[in-house]
Amino acid sequence: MNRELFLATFEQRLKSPVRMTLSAMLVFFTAIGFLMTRGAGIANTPHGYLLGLIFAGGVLGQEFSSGVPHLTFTRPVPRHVYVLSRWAAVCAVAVLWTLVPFVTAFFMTATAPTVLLGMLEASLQAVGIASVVLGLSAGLPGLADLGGLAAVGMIQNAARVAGAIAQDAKVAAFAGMTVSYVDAWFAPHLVLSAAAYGQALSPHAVFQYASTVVFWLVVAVLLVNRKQLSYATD
Amino acid sequence: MRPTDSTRILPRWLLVLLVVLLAGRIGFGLWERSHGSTKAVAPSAAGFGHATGNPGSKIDRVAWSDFAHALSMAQASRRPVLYEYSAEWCGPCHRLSDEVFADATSAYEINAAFVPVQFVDRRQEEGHNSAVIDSMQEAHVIRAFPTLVATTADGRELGRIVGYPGREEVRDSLRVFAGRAGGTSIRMGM
Repeated sequence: MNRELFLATFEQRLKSPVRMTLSAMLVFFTAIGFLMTRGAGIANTPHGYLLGLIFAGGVLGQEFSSGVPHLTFTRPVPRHVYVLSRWAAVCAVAVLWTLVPFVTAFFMTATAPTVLLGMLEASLQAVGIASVVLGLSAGLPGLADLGGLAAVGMIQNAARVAGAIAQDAKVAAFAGMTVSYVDAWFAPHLVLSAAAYGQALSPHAVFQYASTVVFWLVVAVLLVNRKQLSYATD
Repeated sequence: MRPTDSTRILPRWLLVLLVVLLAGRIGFGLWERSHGSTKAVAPSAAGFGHATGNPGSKIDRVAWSDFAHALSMAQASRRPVLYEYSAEWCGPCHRLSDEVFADATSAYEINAAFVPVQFVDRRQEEGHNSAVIDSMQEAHVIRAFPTLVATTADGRELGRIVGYPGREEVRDSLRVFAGRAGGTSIRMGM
């Protein structure tokens, strides 16, 4: 990882007024939710996912549209280092913001293990979606990565509707399975809060999450390695 | 890096990591599917339907989910979880199974609106339950069989039915629970 690229991206994301406004609102309302439910709603909160989207959106695509990476790549910086540094930076910002609402939970009735599980779960969700957005952003211009994810969401909703209106249990089951498979590749997450109900963490779920994250990192590196982003021949 | 090195290399360690993780994903997926290691009790072995040896029992049409995946399925499909606690010796449990779970319409409604999970108490037959069943019974404060508990994916209870009040009463209550979950797009009672 390149320290300068990491810090530059970190600073760039924190200086974006739109991102900061959206994040502050999201964190505020999540914290209010924690306070109102007295910690009961800590598990499976979507704010990590949304913060991942906010900070990772256009992480590569916006740069490529501006032509900045073409200049960056004239320097002897391996492209995978560039990709991984930017990914690490957006993950760091998203995770930091994700953890903020949990501070309120510590002061409420929620027990420490529940809060810690919730923190880890939400952070992994932020990292997971940041990886997906990074992969999409490497191949799509501007903020089209978010558009791509919205399209995936529409396909999932179409499958849900098809499952709901089909008067057949097999069709409903197939639609549910489709939604789950798409979700595994486009919204990686680990349900850690289930441990609070005595459920052991499935090794398959862990490998599913980790492989999806790494898969999108590889996709991003492969796409950024394309020749069109070079001034020189190599 | 050396001046002759390309800046466009794909690091081998990343590829190796991906291959290892994908292999683990496929391997554990197949293993969990065949072994069901964390499964509470398989419906076929749970003492319902034809497997019970009770000639009067009907086929259970509810697509009971593996407990290990129920919460993630509930989260992914935005459906609440319906836990059914029963026991083989329990007469009302068999009536619930025969009149609700074996009924195509009722089973369709349950499959569409919930992620159903079944726990069968085995204390009377085997002297003890698995740790999962015991902890779930304790978590949901189960005092009688059958008990149906509907919860959101994060464990918030939406409602419960203790005992077997009759098919229509069960279906009406389940509709109410599904409605409380919010976001449930399935129309019940079709």
